[in-house]
Amino acid sequence: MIELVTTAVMVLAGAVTVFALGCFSLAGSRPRALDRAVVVLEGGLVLRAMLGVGAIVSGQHAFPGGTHVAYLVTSVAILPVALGTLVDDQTRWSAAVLAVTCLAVLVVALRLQMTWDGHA
Amino acid sequence: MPDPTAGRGGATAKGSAESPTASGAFPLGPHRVLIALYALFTLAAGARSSVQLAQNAGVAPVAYGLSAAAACTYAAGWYAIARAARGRTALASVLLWVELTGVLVVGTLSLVEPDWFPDASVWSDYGIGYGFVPVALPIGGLLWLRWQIRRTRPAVIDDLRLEHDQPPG
Repeated sequence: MIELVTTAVMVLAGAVTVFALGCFSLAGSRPRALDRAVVVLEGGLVLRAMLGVGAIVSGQHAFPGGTHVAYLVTSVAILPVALGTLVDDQTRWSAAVLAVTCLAVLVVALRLQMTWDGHA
Repeated sequence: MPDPTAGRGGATAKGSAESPTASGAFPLGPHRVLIALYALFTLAAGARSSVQLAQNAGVAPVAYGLSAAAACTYAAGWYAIARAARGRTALASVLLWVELTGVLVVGTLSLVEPDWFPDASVWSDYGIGYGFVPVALPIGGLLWLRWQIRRTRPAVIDDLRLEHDQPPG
């Protein structure tokens, strides 16, 4: 289940990255649809984090280590921080910032799965 | 006497991509992407070096120490670019060259003297572990800085001219 959610989050992060790059290339300003897509991605990340914490607390999965916890916190915090800095910025460059952030989320989600499986 | 900082801010408002925010707190524009990247790399390099130094400091002290130095450089670069966006470009022009030199020296040493790097640092192989972003980042920063200096220079000259033309008293 948790692997499925992580994969879905990675696919979604990739899609939002491409969408944000498209907004940067084409649009004059950042569309609201991009913000909504980022919120949906954040929802997926929160769901992934809750499933992970639930599995550890219930004893279904061994504690994966401090590195995993660091990636878990980063995965949930990074998008709200990025959106928070862009509240008064609707320029196309704010879409570029979101593209960079979503790409980072994709990498963090990948590392999250690797540390969960014990490969890193 | 006009405030030079205010004058530069005024020049900032002329650029379409560089209009100040509604609150006037922070100018907008391409540097925000650089700031986001510097913030991410401060976090990534800082966390990486902290974990490595805390758990296996003896395995590759040079590489881990260089990763910590890279984290400090990114934090300083983050601050310097934020300053440069407001027209104070001197610190950024020094720090970005220091960063680029660091990436090139460490990247070259990691290829020429691999024994010195039993484990990779952030700048090993010119940042191959991070998709070569570590080497692209200071180059992008320097290109932006060149553009920023050209853009703000007329405003500084205007400020000095105003200051010179103003009658004493």
